[in-house]
Amino acid sequence: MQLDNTRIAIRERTFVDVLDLALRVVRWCAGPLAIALAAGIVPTFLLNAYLLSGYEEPDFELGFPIWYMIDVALLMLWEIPLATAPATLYLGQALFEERPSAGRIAGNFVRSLPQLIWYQVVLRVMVLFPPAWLWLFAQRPYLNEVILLERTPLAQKTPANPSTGRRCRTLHAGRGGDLFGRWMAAVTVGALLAASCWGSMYLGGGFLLNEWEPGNGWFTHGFHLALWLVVGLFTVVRFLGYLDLRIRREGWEVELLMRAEGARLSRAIDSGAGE
Amino acid sequence: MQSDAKQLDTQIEIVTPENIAFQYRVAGPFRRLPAYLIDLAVRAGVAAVAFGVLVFAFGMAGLASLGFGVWLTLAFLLTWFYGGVFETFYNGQTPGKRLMRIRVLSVDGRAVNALQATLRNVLRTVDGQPGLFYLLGLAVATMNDRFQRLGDLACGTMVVVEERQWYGDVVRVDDPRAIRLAAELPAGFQPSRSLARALATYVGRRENFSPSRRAQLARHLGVPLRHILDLPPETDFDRLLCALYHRTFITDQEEPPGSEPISPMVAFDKSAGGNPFASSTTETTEVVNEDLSEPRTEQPFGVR
Repeated sequence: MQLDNTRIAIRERTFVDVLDLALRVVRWCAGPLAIALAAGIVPTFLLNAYLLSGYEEPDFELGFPIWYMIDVALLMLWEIPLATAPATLYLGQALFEERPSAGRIAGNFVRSLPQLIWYQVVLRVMVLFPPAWLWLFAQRPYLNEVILLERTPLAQKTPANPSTGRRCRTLHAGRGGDLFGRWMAAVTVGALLAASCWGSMYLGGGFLLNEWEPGNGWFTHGFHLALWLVVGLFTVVRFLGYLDLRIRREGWEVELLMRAEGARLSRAIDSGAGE
Repeated sequence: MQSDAKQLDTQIEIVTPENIAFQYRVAGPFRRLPAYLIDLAVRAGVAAVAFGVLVFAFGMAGLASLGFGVWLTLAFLLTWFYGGVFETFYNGQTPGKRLMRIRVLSVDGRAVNALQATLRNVLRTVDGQPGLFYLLGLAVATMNDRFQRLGDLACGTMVVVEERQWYGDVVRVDDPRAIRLAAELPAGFQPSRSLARALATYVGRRENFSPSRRAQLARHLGVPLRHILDLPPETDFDRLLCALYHRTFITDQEEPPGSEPISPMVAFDKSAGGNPFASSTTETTEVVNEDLSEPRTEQPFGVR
């Protein structure tokens, strides 16, 4: 691992630049990224299909099943952090390594699972108030990255090794306005993309099957699929946004360069001492 | 950042027919979206105003149908030729693109001609498929390095970001203690290219960091450098990096150009300058190894 030889150019970017770069990242690692996303999303997709199977058929015949869609969106708000964890771990490794290891991704996921469950499941269940979850998304958007990539402990051991909560506060502190603006932009673009995917599915079905009456499948699986596709893209956007925040706030690009050069000098010292 | 393989970025290099290389940042679909929405609003505004004026004017003369016909012709021209005309006569920009500071160029870096400008705008309808959801255009733009949609691919055009880059002078080190330290560093020490790059990056950005963060960052290089230069343990790492930067980029530039910079371990000749900081307290190997071991831990996302 060479810290100053990243696969993605590390520098400050605007939000639209991050969105565009995310498309390039998706193209670059489409196969492995799709597998990592599927590993988290497929079980969630099936779980949601099971949980929402109680909806009666007539609900859909009344017209636009708005309550069904709201329930899907609420479930997803709760599930996104866990469902996208494997993809985040993959991106973290792929940034530095040519061949990320599935075993290490799985190992890191298992190690991070207790914290993920505590912060992203238990605390949310305790705060049964969805607007509070939205606050978490808008003001602590990179909690997942802190848990999964920085692997901070649940409780602080030493001042140099802060707890996840403390690290998250430090990372996001003083950036509320910027983060909220980015979150609003992300929600707007995400909603447009999801609508675009969903509409395209309808038109695709119409053109291919000459079926222009939207069936229940379009409302259920189609809606689900469109949202998860957008969540997949925004997992990459969130990862790149996290890197951008660390660059702006902590000079992470400088840190990588200094650590890489420091390691080179140390190796030179060792080889000099060994001779 | 240093790179052996090509890094993923939105920047591309264009070599013009005159063999001049330019670096551009290409505008992807998301950077182009606001410009498109602005142009859509301009077109809608012009069409709405024209509708009111034409229908009113022709209506007064009892020719409301003719007025509506003229308006339909105008709407047709606006829909199909607004982008083409602006990009032809406005050097690759529409009002929306100008506001968002993006520009259409040929892939060889030259300005677009009328045919390219018109055709790429007419073909937007194909990129908008299915319906007007633009998924085809988005998918095609994702599949190539220049973010070209079908219209761009057909016309050999791309959209780039107009960036105003200011190249400042070499950053000056103001701290007199760092300048004094620079003068006292061994004359035989010459940083390698990668070390010089790291020093330049650090000094260029250090003003943005708090003193504690500077200390954290400088430590990664400071610990091995202190060992190489035989400096006393109390050496301030931030000051050491500033001193070395000053020596490399300010002092050495005033001297006659020497040979190619080489590795610090090879270049360092103790006999050339001696070590003015030599301490009576000998730093033990154990301490050095302990210090040096830390930067090697490979947890790239870890907080330090």
